Amino acid sequence: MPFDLNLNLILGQMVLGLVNGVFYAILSLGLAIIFGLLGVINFAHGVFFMLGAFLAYMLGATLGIGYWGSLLIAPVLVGLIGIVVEVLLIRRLYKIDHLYGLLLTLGLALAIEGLIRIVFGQQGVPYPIPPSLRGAVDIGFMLLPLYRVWVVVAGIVLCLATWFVIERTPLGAKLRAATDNPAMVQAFGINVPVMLTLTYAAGVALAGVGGVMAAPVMTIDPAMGTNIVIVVFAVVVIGGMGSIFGSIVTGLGLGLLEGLAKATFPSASSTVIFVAMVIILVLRPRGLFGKMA
Amino acid sequence: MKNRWVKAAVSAAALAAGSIPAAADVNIGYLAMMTGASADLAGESALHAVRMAVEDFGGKVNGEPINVLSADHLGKADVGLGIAREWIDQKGVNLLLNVDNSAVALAVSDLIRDKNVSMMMAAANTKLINEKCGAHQIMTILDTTSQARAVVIPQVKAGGDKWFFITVDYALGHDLQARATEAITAAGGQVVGSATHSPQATDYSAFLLQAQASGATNIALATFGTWQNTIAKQAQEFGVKATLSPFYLTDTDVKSVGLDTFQGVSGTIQFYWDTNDQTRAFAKRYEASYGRPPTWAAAGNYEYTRHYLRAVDAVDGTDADKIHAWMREHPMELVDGTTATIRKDGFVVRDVYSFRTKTPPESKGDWDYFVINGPVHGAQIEPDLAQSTCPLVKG
Repeated sequence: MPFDLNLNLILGQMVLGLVNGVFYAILSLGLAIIFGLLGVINFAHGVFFMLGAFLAYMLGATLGIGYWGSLLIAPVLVGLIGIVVEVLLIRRLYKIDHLYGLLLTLGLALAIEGLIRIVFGQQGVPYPIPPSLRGAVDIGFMLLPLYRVWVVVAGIVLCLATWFVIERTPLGAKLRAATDNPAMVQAFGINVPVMLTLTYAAGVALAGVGGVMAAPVMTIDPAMGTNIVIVVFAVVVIGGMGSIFGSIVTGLGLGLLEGLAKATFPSASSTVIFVAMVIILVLRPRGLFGKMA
Repeated sequence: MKNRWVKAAVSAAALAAGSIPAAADVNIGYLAMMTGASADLAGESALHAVRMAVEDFGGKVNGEPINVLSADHLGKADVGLGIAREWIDQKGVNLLLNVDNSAVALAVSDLIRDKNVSMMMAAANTKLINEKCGAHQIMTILDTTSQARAVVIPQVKAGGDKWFFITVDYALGHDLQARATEAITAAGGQVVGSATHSPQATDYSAFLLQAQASGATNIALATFGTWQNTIAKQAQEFGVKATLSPFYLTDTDVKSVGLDTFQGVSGTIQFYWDTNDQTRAFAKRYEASYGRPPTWAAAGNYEYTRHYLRAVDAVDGTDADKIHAWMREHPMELVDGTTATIRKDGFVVRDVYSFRTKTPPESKGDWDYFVINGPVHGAQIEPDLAQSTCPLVKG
């Protein structure tokens, strides 16, 4: 029954789509920050998402730290790994073609994924929903698990806060200035290399937050990042490479679109985002919110 | 280990020099997915079981050493074929074991067709016992037809009469769904809906809601591995009432996602370590050297290695025709104390076990996951020989 136009089903699927959209938004936001401010196409982004989830698992398994603790600690650890990666590797690529950054981060992604696979196996590890967020709320047309409500609320707040920091605060202004004209900003006594390092760390830490948030609802396995990052790159392309607000809106919007497809024509649901990408690339090559040439 | 490689190298050199070794060793090539989707199930752990079988046999047969080689086919037909060719041509491999991928098995099947080499493959593609059957090949797991029957029949009998499918969108998934649909209808149940998921999918809640809306008693998972694990996790999150009926649930899956998620699930398995005294004794021995109980893949590889070595011993040589004739004529002893028979098309008729997963309070800890409900008899689920297209059956 491909065309089952039941209103409750459509609404239900769109709500679920919104939940996925939040994950897309968090991930594409990090990608957009890194690309917009550093000019690096960070193919390793999915791996940092996966690392966030695995770190949450490890913190729980070895130190007994629960979900809430992990939600704070795991992204910090992911950010620290990001700092090491930026200082040792990515820093060397700022001055050359974007393509090299893409190749380096892709290789890095494969290596880290392989390493995790050796340590934890292919099948993945368990992670429970925190006790305080178990259960479901009745939203009229469906029973929505409480945890998913939390994901939507927390995810949107996180995205808007990040947007606010970059676009509306002096720190964000310095960051944007530093990428536009590093020499000038340096002349004002701002340590540009450190700012760029911290930007990369913040971008991947966002992916880490997404990973921890995904841990209780998705299976934590080495390929979880790779699977989602393919969609996320489509989101970034549609939103416009480097556009921060664009990536948030596009992430949520495409989640909804996917949900709508699942309700009306399920077999198209896995491709609808890529169809949207093709249409946008043909009609508006810079993406919906793109400002770069 | 080192000696074995030296030996393999020396015998390869001897073969290359054109001289025929006076007396050939028996060489077993364990060709498996050592990383990736099925690595936790078979991989190193089933290789360990093969080594155990060789040790139990005394390490020698007919006075000749038994060597075990292993390699990773990566799930790629060309890689698997390359390794098999090298093993056969240069290392004198007599038996290709495990071969847990249908594409690899199909490729190797053509390679060994006229050679004095055997293959025992953990691949479920029905072609391998039909048009691609071979005199020297044995299917060590249930094909999709018998697997679907084995899962469906006991559950329809237990009252599950409305089925909804969540199916992975490639050949295996579609094949399973088609076979299971036949079995469900034949057993008196009905299919009330289905949804396919892409191999990249990470969210299945949409399908679960559809399944719930369809009023299904059972949600058949025509998929496996991490996809299946995520579906189970999300089914629990959404409080799905219908019974999950996976086709390929193993203890390694439960271990990775947690019994909490997989509780109350019904399925079928060909070996579970805690079935009877014999399986427990075997598991104890295996665990002593490997650190965890054997999976069904490990037990299976043990059983097939042993049956093969017994045949080599009985026919006093490595002539594949004679070995396979012996293996078909003699019942294969299984770890659980029952026996299996190998058909002409390479299908193996054996009893499998329907199970339900325990609840967390019922379980005593890691690896204590299944309650075995009883055997599903091989005769009840085997594919009909009369419909076989295998030339060996017709001729």
